[in-house]
Amino acid sequence: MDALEQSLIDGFVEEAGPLRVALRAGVTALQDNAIDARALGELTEALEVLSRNAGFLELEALEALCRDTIRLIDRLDTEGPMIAGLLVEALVAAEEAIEGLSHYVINMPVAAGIAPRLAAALGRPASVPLAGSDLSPEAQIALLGSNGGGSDDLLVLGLDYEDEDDDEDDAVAPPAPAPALMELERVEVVEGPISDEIADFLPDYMAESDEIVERLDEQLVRLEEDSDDAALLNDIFRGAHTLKGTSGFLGLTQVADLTHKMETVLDQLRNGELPLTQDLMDVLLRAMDDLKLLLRDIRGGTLVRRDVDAVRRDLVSLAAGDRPALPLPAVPVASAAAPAEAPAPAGSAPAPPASPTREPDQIIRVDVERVDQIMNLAEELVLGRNRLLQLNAQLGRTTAEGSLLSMLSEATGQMEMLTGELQESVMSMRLVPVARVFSRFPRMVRDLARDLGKEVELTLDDGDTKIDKSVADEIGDPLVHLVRNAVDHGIESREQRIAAGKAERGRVKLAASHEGNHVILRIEDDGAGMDPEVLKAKAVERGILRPDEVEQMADHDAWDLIFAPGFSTAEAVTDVSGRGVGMDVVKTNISRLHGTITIESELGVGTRVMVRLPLTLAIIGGLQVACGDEVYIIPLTSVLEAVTINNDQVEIVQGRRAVISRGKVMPLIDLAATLGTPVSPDRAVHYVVIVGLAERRVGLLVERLLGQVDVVIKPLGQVIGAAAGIAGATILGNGDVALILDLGDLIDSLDESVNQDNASSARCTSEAAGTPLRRQ
Amino acid sequence: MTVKASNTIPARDSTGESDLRVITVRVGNELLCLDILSVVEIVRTADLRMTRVPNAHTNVLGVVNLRGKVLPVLDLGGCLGQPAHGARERLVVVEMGSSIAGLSVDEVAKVVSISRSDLGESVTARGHHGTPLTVAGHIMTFIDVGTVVAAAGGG
Repeated sequence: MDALEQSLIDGFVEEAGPLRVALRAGVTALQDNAIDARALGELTEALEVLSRNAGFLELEALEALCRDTIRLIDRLDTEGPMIAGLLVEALVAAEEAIEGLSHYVINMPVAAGIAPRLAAALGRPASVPLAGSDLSPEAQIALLGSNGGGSDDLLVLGLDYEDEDDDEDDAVAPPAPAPALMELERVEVVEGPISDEIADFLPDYMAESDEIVERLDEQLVRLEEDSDDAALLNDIFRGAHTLKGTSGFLGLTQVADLTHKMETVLDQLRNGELPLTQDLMDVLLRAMDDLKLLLRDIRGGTLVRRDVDAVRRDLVSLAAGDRPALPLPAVPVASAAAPAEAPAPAGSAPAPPASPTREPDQIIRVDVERVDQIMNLAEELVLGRNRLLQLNAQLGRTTAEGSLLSMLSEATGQMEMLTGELQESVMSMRLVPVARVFSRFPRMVRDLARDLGKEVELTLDDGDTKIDKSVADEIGDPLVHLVRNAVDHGIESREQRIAAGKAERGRVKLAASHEGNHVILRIEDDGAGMDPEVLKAKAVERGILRPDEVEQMADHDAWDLIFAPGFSTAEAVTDVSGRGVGMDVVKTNISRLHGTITIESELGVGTRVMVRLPLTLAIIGGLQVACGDEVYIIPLTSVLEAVTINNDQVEIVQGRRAVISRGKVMPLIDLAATLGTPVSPDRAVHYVVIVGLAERRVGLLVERLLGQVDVVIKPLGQVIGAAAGIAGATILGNGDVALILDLGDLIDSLDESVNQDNASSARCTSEAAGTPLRRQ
Repeated sequence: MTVKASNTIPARDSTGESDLRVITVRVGNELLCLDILSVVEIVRTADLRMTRVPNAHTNVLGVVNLRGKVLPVLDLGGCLGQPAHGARERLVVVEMGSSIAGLSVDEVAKVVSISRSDLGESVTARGHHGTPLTVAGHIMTFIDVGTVVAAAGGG
């Protein structure tokens, strides 16, 4: 804005001073219902001056607002209370526009927002019987354009773009005598990469927005269940309001506009002007979807104009279209409530865009990277401590210097304790509530159930558990698959449920709980359950297993079949009523997180899936094992048990070694052979470490067990690239580098070699599913 | 070791215009030189305990603990197509972008300056890229660390 423009605005604001007084007096008089002809005359005069001056400055939105308001005053005689509320709003909007101008804010969202409603009121005899006015087609369209202005806020779009004025043109400036008629005001979008000055605010903005959107989704679904919850409705309103404020502040006009429209509807809902209907909920939820799209663009760093007009139109028609259906007195009463508060903010500086809901809590936002940095340092410290402990132990064996040694070991002990605590604190900094992972599900289940025509009740029980951010980020998708399967394939159709004597409403439960260093996630449904026989038959039909292989298969092994690659095609899913879609993905993701997954199902009663995940991934407990001279580390989170076996306990099954443990045949992986370790002379006794990953259970044949150790996974780096079976490296207490085993890789290699061995026989992934193997 | 050697490349190096400081190393019977800017340090192999990485490329000798960092070690001779050989007494620790690696060599000779213009067309021999040149009366090959490592390890 140049100096000339500034001085013009200064002049305008100065001249507008007395006019504002007149406007305010008018507002008070209207509210007190004590307006007389003289006051109206003064008001009209003030508005005329204002309109002229605004026209001079090419502030078309304000000019139009003034002119329309004058027209409205002319009709006050005939229509009285019907338009009094709107008139008050218009006057407040004009007043706010002047206030904004005194801060050189030339955007007039409130003025622009109210314009369509003014237009509608001026040319709408059908809904509000107006004497002597015609119903023009434009006016009908204007009904759609009306987006209310019931909120009591001052939206400050702090960034004034040149083209904002054009926006006002499009939105408000009347092309003909007919005032401000258009279908939907265009939202001016600055397309392209997000500018640097905004980019600085972006991380905070995204973090806050994501949180709000997540919460809104969940709250909206809750609202649908309990429409009387006023506090909840208020929360939702505030969420939308906050989002609108911050988005507007950053010039993210599309988000600001959409949230503004949502807010309008929510406000009317809050004031009892709109009934909470299914349609309304649908529109709001669709708006949420569009909002997510817009936010995704912003996160990507590029602003794109997205077509969200369908939802915008529905929102504004909700806000406007449903109004006339309401008892007439409700309009002035409700509208009058807004200006009662409005003059206060109008008189003060523009309301800050900051969220009014932000509690003065004790939370700071920290970039994950910084936490990771501290984490790395803590990890190094752990390694240092390990080394110190080891040296201490060696010293104790070799030196006799008693008192010095005990002091050293005392100091080391303290260091150990502190390191442990530091490590724990840093780790806890990265923990996020599981509730946040869960928050997306109410919405998802609701939509899915509606699509499928089922009634499904979702119960969430996060058990106050927390989980590392990296785990939380990764587990979302697998959970989506599992929950979707529960609703889609688990819960039967209404008819089937009734026929089975079950409650019409299916139940899906999502629960989390702690167990040592693990979080257990359970997805339960009271659906049809999975029929092991059908699964087996399907496996045979698909050529995954041979008929003789499935004969002796236990039920739990049959359920695991759904993880077998090739088992889950769309066809299989519907036929088997089994969970198929994406189970491969589920399995892969969970393996990557060093988690396990187990399925229990009872025919006709339901299915329960349990996912067990480590709390954190960065520093893990490891079991040190040795093969020859080489030391390897098995992630402790995957270790189920370690047993000793004699050579004669090793069975040869399908050309592979296997061992029977607790009644289950467990394929064996000979670590030394797989990793090409120089072979040591055969021993009579071996150790078998039984590990579980996702749904698989295998035994690792090792030479010795060396004990447990905390390790920090360091990647091998690009130079080495992928080394099959190796997940990374760590540095041991003695300074040596030890490699951490990638169990997923090792198990996969087992499948490959089996497939190669049995190239001629039917494709066999029986080991993959942990099923009993055929004896040779 | 860091003595600047006189070399057969005429006086132009004293102008300093397009000088390239290289470190010359011996691998088997071959003399090689690498841009000194890519070299981080040189360590004695004997001070380190190597951990073999199973199933990795044959030129990957293993990983070592270099002051708390896990450093991958490549056999430079192997990268250049030489048969496996003995000594490998030194590790030249090189940096390429964000990755770091140790290249095992038999001997680190000296640091010399050469002129960029003396580096002619690179030739491809035995599967690796290098530029032959004469330094201090010896014929040696200038190798690009990034290319060699990429060809040997992950690539």
